Amino acid sequence: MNIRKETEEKALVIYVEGRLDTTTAPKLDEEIASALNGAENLVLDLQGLEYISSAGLRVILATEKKMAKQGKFVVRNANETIMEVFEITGFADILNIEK
Amino acid sequence: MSTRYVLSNENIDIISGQFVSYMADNKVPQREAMELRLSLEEVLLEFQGEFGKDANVVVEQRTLFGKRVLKVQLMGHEFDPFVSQADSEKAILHHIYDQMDRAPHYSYSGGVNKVQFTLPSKEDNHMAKVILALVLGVGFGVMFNFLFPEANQVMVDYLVDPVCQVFIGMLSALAGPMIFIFVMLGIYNIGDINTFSKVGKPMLGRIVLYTASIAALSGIALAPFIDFTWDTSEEAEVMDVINSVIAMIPTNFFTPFSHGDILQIIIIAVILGICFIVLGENAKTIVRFFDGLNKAIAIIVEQMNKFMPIFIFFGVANLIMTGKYQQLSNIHLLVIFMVVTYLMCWVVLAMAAWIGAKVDPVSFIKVCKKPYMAGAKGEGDREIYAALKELKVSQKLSDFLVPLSKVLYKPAFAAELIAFAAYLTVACGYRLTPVWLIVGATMCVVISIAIPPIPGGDLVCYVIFLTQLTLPPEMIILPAILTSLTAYIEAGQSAIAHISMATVVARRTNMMVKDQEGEKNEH
Repeated sequence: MNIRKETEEKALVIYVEGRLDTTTAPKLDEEIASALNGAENLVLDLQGLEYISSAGLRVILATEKKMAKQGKFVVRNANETIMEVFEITGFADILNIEK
Repeated sequence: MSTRYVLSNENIDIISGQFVSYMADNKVPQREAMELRLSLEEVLLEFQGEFGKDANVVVEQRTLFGKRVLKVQLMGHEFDPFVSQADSEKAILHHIYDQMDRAPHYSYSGGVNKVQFTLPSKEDNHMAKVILALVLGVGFGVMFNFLFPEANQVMVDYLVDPVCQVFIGMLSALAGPMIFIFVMLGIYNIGDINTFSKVGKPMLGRIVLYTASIAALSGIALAPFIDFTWDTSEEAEVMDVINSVIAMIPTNFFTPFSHGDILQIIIIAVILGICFIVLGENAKTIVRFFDGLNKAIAIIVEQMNKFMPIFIFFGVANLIMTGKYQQLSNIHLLVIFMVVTYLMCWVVLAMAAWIGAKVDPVSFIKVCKKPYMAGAKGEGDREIYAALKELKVSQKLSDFLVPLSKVLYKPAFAAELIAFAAYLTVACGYRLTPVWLIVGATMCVVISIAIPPIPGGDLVCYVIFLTQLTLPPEMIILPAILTSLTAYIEAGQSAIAHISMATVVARRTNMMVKDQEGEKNEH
């Protein structure tokens, strides 16, 4: 899994590519934790994400909970398979998802 | 095949990957495969969180009575990964289980936590087999009855009738225990009475009210076809019918089972279920026993259901070879009656949503179109939840009510029972009395609530229904054919019923989304 961070118009964008599974989810968790300090606008770009596991969902959910207290959190560019995972788990109703 | 793993992150991914391959080899549909994969990963993560990354887990793939299962076993203290925690993360992630048609099953025995994931069965085109059995049965019956009359009686006495009696006997034998255990465990698994009372009580009351309304409206609509009499000169028969209604309090715990008195069996089951809730931990051992027995009966009923085409073949042949087919000369009436009762079902469901939840019937029907089609195709509950979201029912209430409604609320089945009973009275030339009508309507309501949601469960309930209403038991062949051919319609109707019920209960308990947003703003 590759993680890349960029700043776009005052928002911190984290690009996630590859597989977000039980082995790689802790790495994303660390990256997000270090980026969250004081962030008011966080975007998770999943365009390059091919696969997400339950561990990855937990990281996204924890991020949503933290950002709910301090700012805005958007998930964008999830492909069809990832969107189906979000729908099955009810994440489509919880997250702010942009196409 | 069984393998031991240490519960590390890497091994969780390996187990998940192997499960995906196993499902692909068994051609599990994509969405169901995704649900199963995510739920397996959740279980393993919960175990890892509780027992640590050094814990050992055994994963086994096997086939059990034609069902393909994956079993995960972990030795240690009792830990149910599915128990809802106060933690909102876990509550949300449990959302997937509520949508699954075959939720994973947890058990604990001999110091081992066990979780079993059951893969969907391969579709075997049951309807095609039923139609083939019907055609062959007619051919077989006609051949012996009209072309080889000298051998006809011998075939009936030594082959056809014994096979039919075995099937009917087995269905009758299973009926009492199946209903008893299902109702008792259903009451027990409610768990917390306080939590249940806020939404469960209004829901149960409405289930009885709406199902009774369908029974009443259907009875009125079918009245012109039925030979009705106020003449109660046959007092002995009337008293027998009245006694079966008013003598609901059993005199002991065993005679209801030997006599097949379903109302008494249900009373005993409800009482025991409530007692077990009160006993709490002290009742766990005996509940576990009944849970095991429930699974055993479900396996027997499901296996019997696979032999249904054989029963249909012999049953239809029996009707023709014994001349009883002449009673079915007006079989077209059964189709008419079913159309009428299904329509009544729609009317009641739409009216319930209109009066109970202020959803106008036209909007309700528009919202229900997709879930109806999805239900009829057996596509799971996704469309039901989407429809409830569109109707502004809160997610929390949907997650609680839809699974409960699927177990208890089957108005389409009640509609079928009424149509079938009405048709049989016409076919057999019965004159109906007011008491018979009351008993019939009561049985329709009670049985439609008590029927367990397993393949073949409905046929067992038809046997109870025929016995209680003193209708010919060999006529069970008709619902055997009927349930196979109308399963799709009933599944679609059931989806609408769950939406209607959840919407009404949400309105009545102020759990619509705008109600909850209003409360948040006030705070």
